[in-house]
Amino acid sequence: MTYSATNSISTDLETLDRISPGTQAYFRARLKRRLYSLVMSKFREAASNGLTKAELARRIGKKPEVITRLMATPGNWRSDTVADLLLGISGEELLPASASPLAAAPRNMRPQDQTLSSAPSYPIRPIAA
Amino acid sequence: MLLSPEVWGLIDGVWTSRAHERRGGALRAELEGFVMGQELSVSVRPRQAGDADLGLLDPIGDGVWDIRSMDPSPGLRVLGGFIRKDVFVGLLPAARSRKVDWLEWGPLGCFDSEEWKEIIRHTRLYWGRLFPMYPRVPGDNVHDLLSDKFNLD
Repeated sequence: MTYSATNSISTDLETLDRISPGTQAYFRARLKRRLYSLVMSKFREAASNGLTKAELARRIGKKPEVITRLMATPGNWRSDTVADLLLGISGEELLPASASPLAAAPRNMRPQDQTLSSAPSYPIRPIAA
Repeated sequence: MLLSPEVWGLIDGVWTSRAHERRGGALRAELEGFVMGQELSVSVRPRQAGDADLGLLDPIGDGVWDIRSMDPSPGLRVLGGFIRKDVFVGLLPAARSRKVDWLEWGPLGCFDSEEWKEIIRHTRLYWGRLFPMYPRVPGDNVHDLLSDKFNLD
């Protein structure tokens, strides 16, 4: 049976009808990457002030190798993971906010940065309010 | 990031199934993360990349890397190289551990497999066809390849 091509990401967001599997998967992965980027940037900042993975592990009651594995990829992250890591790194909590990507201003790319030419060019926003 | 038609078709393609479309959508977000300068985990130890987002492949001096997309299943690899600092060229997509009918390459299996050797060889050949005058950035010094926001494994 031929699989019918489903809507583009922007069409799905504009119509808010039946969201296609591709769009769902896209935004799930996008969220994971953003959370990962946020936590890792927090860790990078804390590490510049002396925080180590071993110390972070101690703070949140995990083995150092677990911290290493968690920081390698957000693949298996859950909300608990994000909460624990932020708490241990900087004593912070995540403050979620949401917005439509369609409302974001377009962002100019340099020619050598152009890649996914039809991809939405939404600026990354901090998740915490 | 520059993408071959093979990779572009996977993320923006004509999909043949829901699973295909889901996988393409997730990969698209991960590749965009690279373009947007989000944090990346990097491994310069071939065959020991673990869960890293970007891994250097054997032989080290050849400058062939793979972007490693783990989730959701099936895990995917996008093989390519850096044409200059911060500019990755993704050439050949492959399934890591199981065959899917919407990818030509895969399963790649273990690192000593013939499939791995062949796809690395084809990646070099593809590069040579596209960029005969531009070699890949060689070696394992990540600072030659990425400006910032990477975590070296």
